[in-house]
Amino acid sequence: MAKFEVNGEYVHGDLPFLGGFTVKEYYALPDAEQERIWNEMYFAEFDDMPEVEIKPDAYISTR
Amino acid sequence: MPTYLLDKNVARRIIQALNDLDNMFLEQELALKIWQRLVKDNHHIFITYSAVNIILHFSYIPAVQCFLKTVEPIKKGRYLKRWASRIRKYNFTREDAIILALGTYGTNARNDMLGVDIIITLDKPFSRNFETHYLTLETRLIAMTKQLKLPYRLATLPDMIHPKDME
Repeated sequence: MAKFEVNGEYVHGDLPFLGGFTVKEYYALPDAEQERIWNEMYFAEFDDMPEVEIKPDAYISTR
Repeated sequence: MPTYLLDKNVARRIIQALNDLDNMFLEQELALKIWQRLVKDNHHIFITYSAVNIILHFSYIPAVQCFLKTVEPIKKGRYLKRWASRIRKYNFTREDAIILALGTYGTNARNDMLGVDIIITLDKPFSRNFETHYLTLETRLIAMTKQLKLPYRLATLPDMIHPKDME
């Protein structure tokens, strides 16, 4: 498997990475496409997360 | 101590900066500086759970491991979904409504925090829309919260700032 250098660190370029791309493919994408992948993933699990009860004496900002 | 929530674009720019410190462009530099400053000042920094999962893919970079140690995932507090759906009526995208609702009804791992003080975003349309509708949102929030029990009754809108405003 080919190694791929990112900022002096070596990772396997053919490893699965984000958005169905490999490491090497991901870093070759234009910024807008990388952003699209982040946007899709950033909230992906959001709907599945339950709402939790917050303690009555919770910290509330002073804004 | 103020609490901060990083919008997705800020988190992404920080990771990009940490990934290539020698070739940063302005947004990356701004985002990196803000994160460094918040850490130095010992502030609580939050990101979404999904962001943590994305960023874990980059954890082969030692600096990214450091980043992950400085942030906490934010959880959905009760009434968050209700508030997010109301926010959507004011031209916010789904993602922006979620961030704003997390800033209002998000909580930490111990469930002892309601909302954050400040959302940091690089997204100008989002912050402009927030500014435009601020008073209306505030009125809607008061109307929604006044019948709720504590602590939800005390929920307030977070501030929203661009990293440049913190320099």
